[in-house]
Amino acid sequence: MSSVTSWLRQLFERILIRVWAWLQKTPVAPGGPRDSRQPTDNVMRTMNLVMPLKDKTAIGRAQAALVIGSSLDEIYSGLDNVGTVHMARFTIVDNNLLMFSFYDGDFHAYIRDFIMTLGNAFDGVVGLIEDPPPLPCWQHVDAFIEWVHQRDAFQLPDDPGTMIDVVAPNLDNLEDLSRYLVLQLDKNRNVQLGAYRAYPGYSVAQVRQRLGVGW
Amino acid sequence: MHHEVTAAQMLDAFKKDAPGHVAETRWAHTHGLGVVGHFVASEVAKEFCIAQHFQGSSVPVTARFSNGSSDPTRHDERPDTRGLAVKFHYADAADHDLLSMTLSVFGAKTREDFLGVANAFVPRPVRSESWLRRHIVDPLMLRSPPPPLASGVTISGGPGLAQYAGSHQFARAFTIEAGLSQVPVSWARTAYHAVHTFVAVGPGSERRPVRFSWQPVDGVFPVPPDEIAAKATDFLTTELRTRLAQSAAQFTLKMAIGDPGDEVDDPSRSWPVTRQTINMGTLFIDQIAQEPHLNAERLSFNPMRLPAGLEASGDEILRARGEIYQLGCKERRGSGCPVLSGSGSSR
Repeated sequence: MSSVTSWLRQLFERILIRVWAWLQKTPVAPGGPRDSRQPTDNVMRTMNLVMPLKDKTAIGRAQAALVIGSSLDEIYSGLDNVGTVHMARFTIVDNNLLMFSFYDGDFHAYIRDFIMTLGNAFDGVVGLIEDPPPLPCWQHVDAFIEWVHQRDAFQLPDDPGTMIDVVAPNLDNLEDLSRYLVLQLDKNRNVQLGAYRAYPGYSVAQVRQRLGVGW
Repeated sequence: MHHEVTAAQMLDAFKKDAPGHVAETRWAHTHGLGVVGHFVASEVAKEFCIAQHFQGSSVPVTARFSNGSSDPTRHDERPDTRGLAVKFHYADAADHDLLSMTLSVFGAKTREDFLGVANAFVPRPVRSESWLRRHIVDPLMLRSPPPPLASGVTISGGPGLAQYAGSHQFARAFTIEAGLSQVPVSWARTAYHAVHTFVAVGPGSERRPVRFSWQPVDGVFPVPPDEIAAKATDFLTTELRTRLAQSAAQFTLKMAIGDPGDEVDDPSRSWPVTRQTINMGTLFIDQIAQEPHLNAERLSFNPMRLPAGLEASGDEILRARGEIYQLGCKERRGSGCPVLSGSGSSR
């Protein structure tokens, strides 16, 4: 397919999606893990925080690298003190600063503990991001939690049954599933498609205790 | 007054899905290959289940890989639900069978559902999609094209099942997974799921709801779509013979433990991947079963053939399958285990 044909096709698809978005209203799906009362759903939960950089040049990326790099002690110490984080990493992808993590327990408690223990370092980080939350973050905890929640990527369920429940609860024709999915991903551009766990169902505390490395 | 659907009714309904069936062959998973090997439990398995094959010593197994189709002609090269049935031979007790397939869910929750699915799946002549629909209507409706039917397919139950699944929630995940089925490069390079919930009894009499799956040690690897046409209709058998001549094929047995509130009795719903999962051991497929000592095509496998320490959950379909397999086995004059006489052949 030539580049012109490809461009025309994508233009047509964009128009078609806008028409369907008007015909079939689809709400923005909340980011982060879905509510669950199941015990093992509440450990090793995932956060995929997507933060668009204000400055989309290499200067902006370098600023982010410097801020994160100069705060690593503070970040690592803070995450240690939060105590429920299995893994967290900062990455820049296409001018978005990403913070991906696996954590245990309630999202609000995680973010609250997180910002109370490393709020100073995070103030420097969010200062480089579009539409930052009120600063200092640790003095505006509820606003910060909501800010993170809005930027935490939607999580597509791993299995088809739950995926239909979440994306297409009113589906009555399986052929239309692809349209429901397209319209949901039109509303939620950032999406987690799967998250592998080597030891599902165990908290940080259990893992550290069983490894004998102290808790 | 409510009359429970009988296994005979369910088998009769299923028979309609298998036109051209050849007498004394299986009504589903008709084509397969028998193999023999052994299972070695992991160090932790016995902490979770007292069943004999989880206690650590090597347990001999007879197994059968299969294609799910009931087509009387073998078609390894077509996308299909593959099966792996494993019979654990105990030294001093009846055998235990663990039946699994490449789909992670079953298409029904109740016996009535099963009849509905079986009726919807009756193969009908495949109508080619009109140009108008394929190139205009479906793209405008943002519908992705249905999975292409393999060349030479003139009748299929797929479209009927897809239509049925649209209005029957319990059949949806099954239908979607079946529609996404691929052709594996080897029976030893795809994952298999036992679908049903069992109750594993621990050494302290703890009772845990569990689900089993086999993960290939060599990893999952499908045939690239552009290479399928070059595959022979029995290439999976040829491949496995070649593979086993070099070394054993291995699978890891994973056991997921359900949380309180999980769908214990509903095989049409999968459990979240967040459930605690125990590595229960490794299956070594050592060699092809050699006739006349072992004819896996006659051999009976039954998901209700359970050992002490593993019990059936309240899953209605699990119990129904136990009855249906028994009926089917009797019809095709199947046998228990020809290797170990008198072991578990009657169920």
